[in-house]
Amino acid sequence: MRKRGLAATLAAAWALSWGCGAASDNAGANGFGGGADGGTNAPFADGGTLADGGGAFADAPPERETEGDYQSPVATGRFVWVANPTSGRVAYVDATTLEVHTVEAGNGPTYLVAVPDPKDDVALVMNVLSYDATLLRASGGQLSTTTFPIARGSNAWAVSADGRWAIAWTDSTKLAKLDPTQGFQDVSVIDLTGQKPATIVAVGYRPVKLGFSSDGARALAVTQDGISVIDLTQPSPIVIKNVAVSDNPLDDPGSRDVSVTPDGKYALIRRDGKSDVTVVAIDTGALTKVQLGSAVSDLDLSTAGDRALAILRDTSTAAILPIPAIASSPTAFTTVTITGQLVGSASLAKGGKIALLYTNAIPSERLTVLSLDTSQFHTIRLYAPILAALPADDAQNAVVVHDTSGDAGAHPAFSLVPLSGNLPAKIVGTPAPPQAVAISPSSDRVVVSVRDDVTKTYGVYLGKLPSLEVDQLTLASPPIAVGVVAGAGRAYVAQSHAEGRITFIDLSTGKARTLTGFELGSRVVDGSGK
Amino acid sequence: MRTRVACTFGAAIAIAACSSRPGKWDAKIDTPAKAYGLQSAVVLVDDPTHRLVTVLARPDQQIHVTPFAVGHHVLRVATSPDSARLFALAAGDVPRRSDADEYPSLTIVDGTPEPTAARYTMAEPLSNLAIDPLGRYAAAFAGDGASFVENPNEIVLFDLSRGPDATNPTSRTIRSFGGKPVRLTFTPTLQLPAGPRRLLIVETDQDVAILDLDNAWKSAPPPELTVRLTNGGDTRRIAPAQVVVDDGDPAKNDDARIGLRTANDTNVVTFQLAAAPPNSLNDFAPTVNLTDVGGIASDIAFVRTDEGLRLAALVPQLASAVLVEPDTSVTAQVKLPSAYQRMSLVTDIVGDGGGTDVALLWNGPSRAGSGVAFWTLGKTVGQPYRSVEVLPLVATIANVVDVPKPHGTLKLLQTDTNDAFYVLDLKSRTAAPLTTLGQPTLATSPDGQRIWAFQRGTTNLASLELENLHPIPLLTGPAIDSVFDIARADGGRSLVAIHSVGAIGATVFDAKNPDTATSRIHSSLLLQGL
Repeated sequence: MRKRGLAATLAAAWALSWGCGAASDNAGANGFGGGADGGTNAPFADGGTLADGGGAFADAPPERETEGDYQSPVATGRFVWVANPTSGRVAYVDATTLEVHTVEAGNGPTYLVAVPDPKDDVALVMNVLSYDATLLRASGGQLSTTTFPIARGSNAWAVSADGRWAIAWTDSTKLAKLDPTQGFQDVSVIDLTGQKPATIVAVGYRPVKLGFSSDGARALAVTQDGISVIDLTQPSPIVIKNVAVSDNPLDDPGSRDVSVTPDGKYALIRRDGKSDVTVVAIDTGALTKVQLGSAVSDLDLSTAGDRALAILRDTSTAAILPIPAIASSPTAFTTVTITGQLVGSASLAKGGKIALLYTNAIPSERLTVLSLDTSQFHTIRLYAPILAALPADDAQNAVVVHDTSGDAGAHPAFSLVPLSGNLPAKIVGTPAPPQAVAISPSSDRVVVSVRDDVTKTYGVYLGKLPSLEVDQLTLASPPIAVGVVAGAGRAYVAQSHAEGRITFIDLSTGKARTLTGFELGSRVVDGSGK
Repeated sequence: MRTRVACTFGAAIAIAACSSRPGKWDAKIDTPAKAYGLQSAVVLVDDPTHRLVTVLARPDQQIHVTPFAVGHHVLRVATSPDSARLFALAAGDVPRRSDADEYPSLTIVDGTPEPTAARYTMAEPLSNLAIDPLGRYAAAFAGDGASFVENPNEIVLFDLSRGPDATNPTSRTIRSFGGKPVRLTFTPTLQLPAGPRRLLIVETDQDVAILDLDNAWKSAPPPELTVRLTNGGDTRRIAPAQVVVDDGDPAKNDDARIGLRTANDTNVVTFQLAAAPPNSLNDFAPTVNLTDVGGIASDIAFVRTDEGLRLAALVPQLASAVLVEPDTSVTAQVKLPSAYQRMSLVTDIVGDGGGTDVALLWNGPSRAGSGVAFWTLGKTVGQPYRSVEVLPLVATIANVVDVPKPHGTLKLLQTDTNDAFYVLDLKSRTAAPLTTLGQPTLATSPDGQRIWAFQRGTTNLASLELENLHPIPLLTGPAIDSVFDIARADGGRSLVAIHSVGAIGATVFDAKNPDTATSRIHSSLLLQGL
């Protein structure tokens, strides 16, 4: 049976960036595209000074890139993996049998990532105190480990879609009080097959995003110096060039939002408050400026990398940029004006045919569904301000998380939204703000965790699509991540607990099972010699 | 101890034959008497002569004495919960110097209708005994040390449904991580994924083992499952203090649970017995769930509430009970009027038939007037239980004694003072005080009609008819050591009061019509049958 990588297992996951202490890291095992923003907004964002914004919404704050701040649960086809930096062990829970095992990793195993594999369950954990990484492979009831050296200070992973390559790097956006001399330029390139030695290479200053070309020949590091290209075909991985993403040496790298196509051939750069998108041909270094006429508030790339969607909030316009044609014909884009609505953010459904448009810069209850093929759109009225919208893989329904912050002042809630426009959305009030969302790969189940640390209110909702039936479950401890283990037919909610706690929810029955005490669970001895 | 020569004041014949009498006549007499009550017999253990002396009651306060051989050097004696059988563990002759010397053994006296005895031989002397409340099994395990070198983790299992043979008993050494068994619990039949099972739960001083009794006599029995209670990350030693068992929904086979509290940790633990992973040696496996109840639990029980099964934990430190939802570990704290330490489920007696439990709470702090409380589970608006009703009593209730039918609605409440006990009526929720002039020892009659109260070491005795709580003062000649209300073959009942004087005496009363005037004293019971 072919196993899915995490990117396929989790149709969508979303989490607020409130630092819940999750031990997992971004686990997207694709290249750069895929419509999922990489969270490049946070530390470098220009505090909302839309200098050339103009128009009616010039004073509105920037759009919040909520859906890009993943705290992806680390799940593989059958297992959920959880690292314990204190014990030095990684627990892996069989989501089918709920059997718990632990395995010794290195010193301080902390950052986990799922590794796509056609037959085995494979995860990779970064040991932050021993400066190495442990590859964990569960196969035929046995677990094997392989250790690779990595650069000190690494805190993030990038894994190629075929599961061969992994890069450990340092995401400076996770760190505070940085000195300018801290460039975090060492990245560790690991051939997980062991055919080539693990290699530390130097890329540009402060990388913000790492990924691989879909053919596995190159790795690309988006840095403040540009895009560093790492050739993986050499006997030992080596940086072969750096591609500038701006022709202005004074360009503020912190204002950039860089997306790279899955094949690694083009990069698209949006800058806060700027009305153009720069298209970079990575092979040649050629820069093409696409003038869109108004500040681009969001830029999303389709999973296939064949088009990008730029949102111009000041004019409530969506611009569809064909790729690669736009690189040679900078006017070859089409625009759709969303008449009567304010849109500043976009979420592209898998397949890239449907986009959800909304704004979270100001309280807005309107969600616009745009067909990128036909440029047709319709707007759905919801009953609370939108914070984020996540379409299911089949683009038939979406989950909308409502905004409870600031002036919005709304009661915590989420909505399940049929995207056809023929059926009403269902709003679900929650006793605590939604914290994380996962949608099953089959697009028929939605899991939403809620969390309020002040009132100690924790819970999880299981929504059924398309019926919009919702079941609620109270949790005993703060949720930190949710996900779906499709192979086991279960969703899970990892929770903050000293001994480790995870609640599994049967996607068919809604029945919950909680495991607490991973170390204890793994220390059940049955005499089988394990 | 005295020799029989010195104390056979009632046996003049023996003196005349002193020069040629068997050695048993010179054997010591152990005092106080080791007396045990069966349904229709009192059994005296006469270890120096290697005998069990059964005393049957006859009409007119006569008795019939029958001795049975018992293994040499009796280590432990116990009766089954239904008082049908007596079990005597003997060390045998250690070391064996000749073929005539005995092996360790378990002698079982079946008390009905006429006493019979059977003996099972063991390889090693063991001094602890656990008896299956359902009468099918018994288990012997190590106690205070019966031989120079002892394996404290060896457990000898007896299948009482068949006689002794080459495979019965069977011996098992449970795996140890440094602990040794402290307490053994036989479960009722549990519906497990692979079929109905009876289990033996072995609490050691630091972990828990679960042994499949139904497969224990196979030629290659499955090993026990061991659940360790610490994560191995520190030096803590968590000692189990109590286990409780629940089979869950009768229609399901994956929801049987074991609950455990510990003596020194604030977590309670539940083990859900689910299907075993492939290639396991057992066909079930426990999944572990820890729940912190905020203090060290003093008693636990599985209870049924309007919202389903819960593990109830009494936490005196919080003066609360905590209800644990075993599927999610969600807790609900129920503030109690006092810091009760013990509870007994009385649903069968006072329940409303609505499927929710009623618990009797007792053993609150001294001088707090805490008495007992009726905790009615269920749910009303705003609280996870229906009511807590206190019956304030002056003294601390130290023990609660069940009363058999037809007065099963009554409980005897033993206090920690010397001057009173109570008869609690669960139906009317009244507690009738009965004052005494000294520390009473209470015994209920198996027919549920009366209570016997006596003061050990004195001649004070009283019968209390439960129908009307009318006390009948009685008196014996010698001081009383213990009393037993036993059935007679003619349908009557006799009260046998044992005196540790001479070669052990007894005063017999007509239990249904007790009168000192019609009582009869019998002496030198241990001389009979020599």
